[in-house]
Amino acid sequence: MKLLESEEVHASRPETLDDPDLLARGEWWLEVTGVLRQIFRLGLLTWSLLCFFCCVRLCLNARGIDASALLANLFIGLTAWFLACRIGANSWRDAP
Amino acid sequence: MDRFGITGLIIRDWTLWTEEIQKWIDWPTGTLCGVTDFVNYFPILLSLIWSASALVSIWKEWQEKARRRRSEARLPSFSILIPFYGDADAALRTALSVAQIRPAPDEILLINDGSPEGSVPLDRSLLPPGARVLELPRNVGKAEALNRGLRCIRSEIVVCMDADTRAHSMDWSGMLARFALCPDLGGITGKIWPESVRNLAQLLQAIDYLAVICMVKCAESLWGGLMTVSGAWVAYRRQAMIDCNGWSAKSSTEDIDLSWRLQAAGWKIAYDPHWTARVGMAATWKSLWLQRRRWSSGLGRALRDQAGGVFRHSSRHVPVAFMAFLSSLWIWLCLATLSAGAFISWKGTSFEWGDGSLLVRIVEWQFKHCSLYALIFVFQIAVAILVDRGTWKRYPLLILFSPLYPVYFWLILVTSFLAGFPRGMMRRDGGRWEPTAEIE
Repeated sequence: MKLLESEEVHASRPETLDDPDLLARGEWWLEVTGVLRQIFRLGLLTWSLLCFFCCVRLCLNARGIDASALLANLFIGLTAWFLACRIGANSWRDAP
Repeated sequence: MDRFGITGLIIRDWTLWTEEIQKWIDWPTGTLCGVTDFVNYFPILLSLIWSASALVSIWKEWQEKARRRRSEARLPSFSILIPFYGDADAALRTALSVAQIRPAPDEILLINDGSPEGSVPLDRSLLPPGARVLELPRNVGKAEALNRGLRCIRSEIVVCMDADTRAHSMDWSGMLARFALCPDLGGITGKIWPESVRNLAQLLQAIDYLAVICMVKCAESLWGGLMTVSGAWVAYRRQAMIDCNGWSAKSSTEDIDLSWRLQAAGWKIAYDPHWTARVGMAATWKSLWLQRRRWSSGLGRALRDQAGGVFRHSSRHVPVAFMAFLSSLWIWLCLATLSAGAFISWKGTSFEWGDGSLLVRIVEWQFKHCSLYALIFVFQIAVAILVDRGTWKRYPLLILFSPLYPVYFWLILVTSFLAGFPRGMMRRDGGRWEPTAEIE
């Protein structure tokens, strides 16, 4: 059930690549690439968290901290996290 | 140089990860070690990620403030919805708390959701100017009451307040300017302060709201979405509500449900720490536990019903949904590993590997490192104080009570999650009014 009739809408929303109207016009490939994008984001987030886990473990390792491994994981983890959040925004300007 | 160059770092990391993956696929020892590492390290990691994100958000806030000053965008029109069931006096106090806000709202709509017979009637003579009352002939639940209220207004922005919420911010132009500046912003939730702290239950809730919930929202906002808005204090763009068919009467936590649907549809939701309100805290341990169980049920419901929306092309909340899933998984794995450890220890089974038994690995590790957990939590509170600096003078005193938080976490949050989450995953229970707070 629709909450209100569409003609009652008087605010306007800018058309972006994510606009549902584009899908309504039959551009189904946007949905496919969109799903792939979300899976890619999840992959980046997973990799990022694994890197952070590795950092925590390296820091808590009683046998001493491996500085280069710590730096590598921190760098890759932060990059992956940043990219995963940025890819979700509709444009680079409109970042989270 | 090569050792610390980018290429060297990546090669070093690749070698490390190859070794790690080889360990994890070594069933059962390696895999179980991986699970226990997740159980042991995830709280530390989560706290550090929240704290780091909150610190970055402080920096971004300074930038945003400068940009907002330069903006001369027209502020959108707005109306306020206050649904209530039974407690007309509380709704009236809420309406009076927004009587002096700037800019003035188009209207304040109080929605009487078929209050039961015998409840105190609303004294209309005390209503502020611009307020009117929508009387529903029978009780339809909060979500449907809000939907009916939404049909009665025409403003661009709809602010929803619970009857136990009191507006604290009197200047709402900052919140409204964000809607004007960002056309795809579907909703903003503000910061909630405890109304009063009179007992230990309310004190621990105050720590939870100020040091955890507010900071988590701050961090999540930075990641591009929120796990949920606070249904008691939130503003929505009316068109976003129409896009998503409004509030769902099928969910007991209409705010979580709507947050996930809005973000799946491509609308952004944000947190504004400068738009503040006071909310009554649950007064007893029982009401607190029931409230948290309802929230956990709502999370379970959202994960069940809205998980597909995370993969939609327009979805914005992948990071928060991912963290919500991992947090839920952590509690279940924690319970499973602790139970297994206790069982093995009781049976005296020699299930040995690596540096000790399963029980040694989990329980002893956590007890040995409880000081580390405490230290990280104190750091988190310190960052939260920095985020909310200047808003509450007694806030730093909360650090003194922070050692009690783990007790609250395990006795209230974890148990209510274990009871509520499966309910949300399995059942279909519609929303109903459950007052949890005692208002003066």
